[in-house]
Amino acid sequence: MLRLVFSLSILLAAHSSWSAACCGGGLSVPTMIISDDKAQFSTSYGVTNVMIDNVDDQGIWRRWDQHQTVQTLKIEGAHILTDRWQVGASIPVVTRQYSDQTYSGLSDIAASLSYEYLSDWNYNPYRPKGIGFIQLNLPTGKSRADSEVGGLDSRGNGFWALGAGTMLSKSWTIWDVFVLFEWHRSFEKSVNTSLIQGTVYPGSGSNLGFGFGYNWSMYRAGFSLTQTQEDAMDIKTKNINIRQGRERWATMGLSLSYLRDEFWSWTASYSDQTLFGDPLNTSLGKSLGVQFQHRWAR
Amino acid sequence: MFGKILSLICVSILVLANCARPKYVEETTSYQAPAGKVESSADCSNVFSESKYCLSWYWENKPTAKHAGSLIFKIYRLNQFDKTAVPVDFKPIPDVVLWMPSMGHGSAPTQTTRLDVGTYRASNVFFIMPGDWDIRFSVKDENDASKTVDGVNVTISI
Repeated sequence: MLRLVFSLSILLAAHSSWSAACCGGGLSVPTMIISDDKAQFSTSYGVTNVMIDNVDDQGIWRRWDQHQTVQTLKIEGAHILTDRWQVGASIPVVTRQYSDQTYSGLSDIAASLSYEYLSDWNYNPYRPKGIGFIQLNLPTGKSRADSEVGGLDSRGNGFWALGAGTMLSKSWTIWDVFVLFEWHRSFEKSVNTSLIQGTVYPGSGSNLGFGFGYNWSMYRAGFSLTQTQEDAMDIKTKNINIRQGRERWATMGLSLSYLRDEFWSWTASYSDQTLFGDPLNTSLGKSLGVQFQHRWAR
Repeated sequence: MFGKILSLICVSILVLANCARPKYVEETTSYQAPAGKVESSADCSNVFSESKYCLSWYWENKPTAKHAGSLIFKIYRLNQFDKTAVPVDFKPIPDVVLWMPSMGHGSAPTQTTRLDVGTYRASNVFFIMPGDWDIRFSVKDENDASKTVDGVNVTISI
C-alpha cells in the first residue's frame, strides 16, 4: 500500500515544467494531489542550460559558444476541498543569465482546481484514476513581448491564460504509468515598448505526455515524454503586423525519487529537449532539478 | 480496455515525438560574413516601401556572441538623369530595430547617430542568439518622432 501511495504521490515530481528553454514560453503542469493525501507542499530548484540557442521554422539548429542559463525556484501546494475536489497553486521565481547579464524576478503564478472524475476505489486491474483540471495562469512574469532586451529578462508566459486538461494514472505493484493532456488559451494584451506599440495575440497551446515508473524498496525511477506546441503569436501595431512562427518541442524527463517515510520524499530529475521530436521556432535546453515534498494524510 | 487505450496513447506520443533529427549549423562566435563582402552595395537592392529611396549598409564592427557591434547605413535616391546616388537626409534621425520573427522578440535598442548627409551609424547592435534576424530601418515623422512613415527590412542569417 505504501508503495502505491509512493508512486502516485511523486508521479509528477520530475514533470513540473514544460517551458521552452528560451524566453519563457509554455505553461507549467498544474499542482495536483495524485495520491490519497489531504495536502501536499513542495519546493523545487532547477537549472536549465540552453544547449541549442535557436531552431528556426525550417528545423535548422543553431548554437553559439554563449548560452543562457535559467534557474527556477518554485514552491507549490495543493489541498483537498472534498473527497474529489482539490485546489493547487504554484509560485516560481526565475533567474536568467546570459554572458555578464542577469535578470531575476517572479514568474507566472498559477492556480488550479481539479476534480477526480474516475476513482480507483475498487482496485480494478485496468481502470485508471482520472483527474480533470482547469488552471489559471496569472501574468506576474514578464513576457518576451514586454522585453526591451530580446527576451533575456522574460520570466514566463506573461499573459492571462486559462487551461484545462486531464490526467490518467495507474499503478500495478512495482510499475506505474500516467498519461496527461492539457490545452490552454492565452489572452491578448497591450504592449508598449520601444519595439512594440500595439496588441499581442498569443493564441493557444497544448501538451500531450506520458510517463512510467519502476518502484523498488523506497525508490522510484521514472521516465516521461511530453510534446508541447504553442500557436503562432500575432503582433498588431500602428505600423506593422507581425506573425511569429508556431513553436513546438518535446521534453524527455528522467527522475529518481526516495520516500523517506509516508510524509517526506525527495526527487532528483533530469530533462532534455534535444533528444525527441521535431522542434520549431524555439530554444532547447537540458535541466537538472531537485524537489522536496511533504504530504499530510487524510 | 483502459490499459489498451493507455498503450495506444503512449504509442501515439512516441510516434509524434520520435527521436530528434537535428540539422546543425556549425557553432559560431560571431556573425560570419565572407571577408571583404559589403552587405548591401549601392545598387538600390533595398528600397524603402513608401518613398522608394534606396538603402545600403555594411558592418563597421561585427557583433559577436558577447559584444555589440555597429553598422553604417546610407539612404539615397537615384539621380533622375544618370541614376547615380544622391544622399537624402532625414530629421529626426532614422531608427534601426533588430527583430527575430521566428521567435517573436527583438533585441536591445540600438543608438543611431548622423555622420554626414544621408549617412548614419547604428551602434549597440547585439543579437542574443543565432538565427534569421530582421534589421528594420525606419524613417520617422518630422512632427511626431513616435510615428514611422517609411521603412525597409533587411533579413540576415546570424
